[in-house]
Amino acid sequence: MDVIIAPLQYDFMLKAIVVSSLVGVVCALLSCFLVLKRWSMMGEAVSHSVLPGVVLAYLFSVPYSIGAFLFGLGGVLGIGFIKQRVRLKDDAAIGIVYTTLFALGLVLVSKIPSNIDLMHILFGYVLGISNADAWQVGIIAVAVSALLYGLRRSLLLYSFDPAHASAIRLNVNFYHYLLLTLLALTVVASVQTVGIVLVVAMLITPGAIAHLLTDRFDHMLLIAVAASVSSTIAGAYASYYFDVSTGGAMVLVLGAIFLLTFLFAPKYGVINQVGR
Amino acid sequence: MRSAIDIENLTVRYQGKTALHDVNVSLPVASICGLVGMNGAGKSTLFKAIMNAVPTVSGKVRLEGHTVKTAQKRGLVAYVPQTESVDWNFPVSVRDVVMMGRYGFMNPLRRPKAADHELVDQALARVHLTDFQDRQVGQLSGGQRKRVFVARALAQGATILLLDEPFAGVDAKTEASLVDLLKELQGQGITTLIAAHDLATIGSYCDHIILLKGEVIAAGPTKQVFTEENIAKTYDSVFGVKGGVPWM
Repeated sequence: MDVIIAPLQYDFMLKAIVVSSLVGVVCALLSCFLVLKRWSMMGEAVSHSVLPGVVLAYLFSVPYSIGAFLFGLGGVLGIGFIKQRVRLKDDAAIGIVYTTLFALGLVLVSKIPSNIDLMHILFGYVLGISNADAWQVGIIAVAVSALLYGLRRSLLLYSFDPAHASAIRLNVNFYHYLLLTLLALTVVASVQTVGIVLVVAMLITPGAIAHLLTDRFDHMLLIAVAASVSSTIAGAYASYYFDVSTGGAMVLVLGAIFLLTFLFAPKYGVINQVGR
Repeated sequence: MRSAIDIENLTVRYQGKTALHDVNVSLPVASICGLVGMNGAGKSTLFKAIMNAVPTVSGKVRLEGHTVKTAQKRGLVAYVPQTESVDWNFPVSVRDVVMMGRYGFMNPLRRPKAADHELVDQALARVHLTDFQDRQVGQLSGGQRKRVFVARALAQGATILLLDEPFAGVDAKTEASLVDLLKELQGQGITTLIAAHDLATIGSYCDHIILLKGEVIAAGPTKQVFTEENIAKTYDSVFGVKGGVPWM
């Protein structure tokens, strides 16, 4: 028991656990929609696109979340624009836009004098998160989680059958851009926890795990949250005790849960499928 | 006779090409109408026009006497998608999908009320899927998968059903039982428009036929319009038509 409680007497550790859990929840909820909508690449695109936003926000002394959000959303809008105007498909448009924005971020980091630690942005640094940032992340995570949960049925219909959705005059465009906006906000909230490279795992794996374990969407949300939060907390502890990368530890635990699910899921796991 | 679907002078341009040219069609209530034509003849475009999913150049569509917008708000028209256009691995049950027919009448939280549950029960019973309501949709047979979407349409209160290639890839027995269902619904005043490119059986259960080839070749009661001559015109090679084709 002491192993669990002892680290919590340190403020930084308590803060890290709370922030990581909230980020775990919002990523998990979103990942269910991304997996079902086949938007995994979108998650990757948004997360990498935020880098120049973080650097520019520093340059103009505005909160990093504003810069990150603008570039994350700008990235996906750019992808949509390219896809509509020329004959390129999704994957090509995505691959071009996010790598270019990521490259812009790298160039800016190397040229603009700042105390930004690139490693922290790329791979997270939740143990060193400031109070102000913790509040920002917390508020974003709670608000986005509430929206995703409250609107889950509308978002599910939009994902499952957009033709029916628009036939009953549900505003399909609104939900499309809402989901993209929530994705950008989630990435912003995750930057300091797992970083913009590893957040991709948080945006895909919990939903994928849950998809292999249940045929009920509400259960899928619950399972994804459980998998995600337990990995973020386990990762924070691992990082405390073994002095390893926090984001790395979180994603590794999540990957391990996925592996177990992939192998042993009762209905959809590989081992049980061989038996049928 | 009252019209379920009334289309006047409808012209649709789609991706720079005229997909439908001057379509005039009137379908009486409770008809089962086959919409036949080759791939690319404009069947999907006509569906989209009825669903308000493509901008039209000219013409108007009336459903049960209402504009498409009003008809949609009242849930009068429903689309049964092609089997392959749906991801059957989605974690939704039969009941979940049928409930989606009620979503148009709810606020964005889509929390079903007792009345919604009752309408879903009735819809499930009408398509004989009550016993399957808790199954994940992917665990249904081909015919049952179609019925789920018909049930969703009924739960929605639709009186006009648009079926897109419902018989593609289903066996004869399944097709027959679906046709029986559509005839049952016909007796309850429901109009069905079925897009199909396979002509083998469609004449036997449709009381009306629309032959489409970018424009209407012929439309009306099956006995009058489903003639060899009209079929030949509809399925003639596009390049073999004398005098060229007006919409190309």
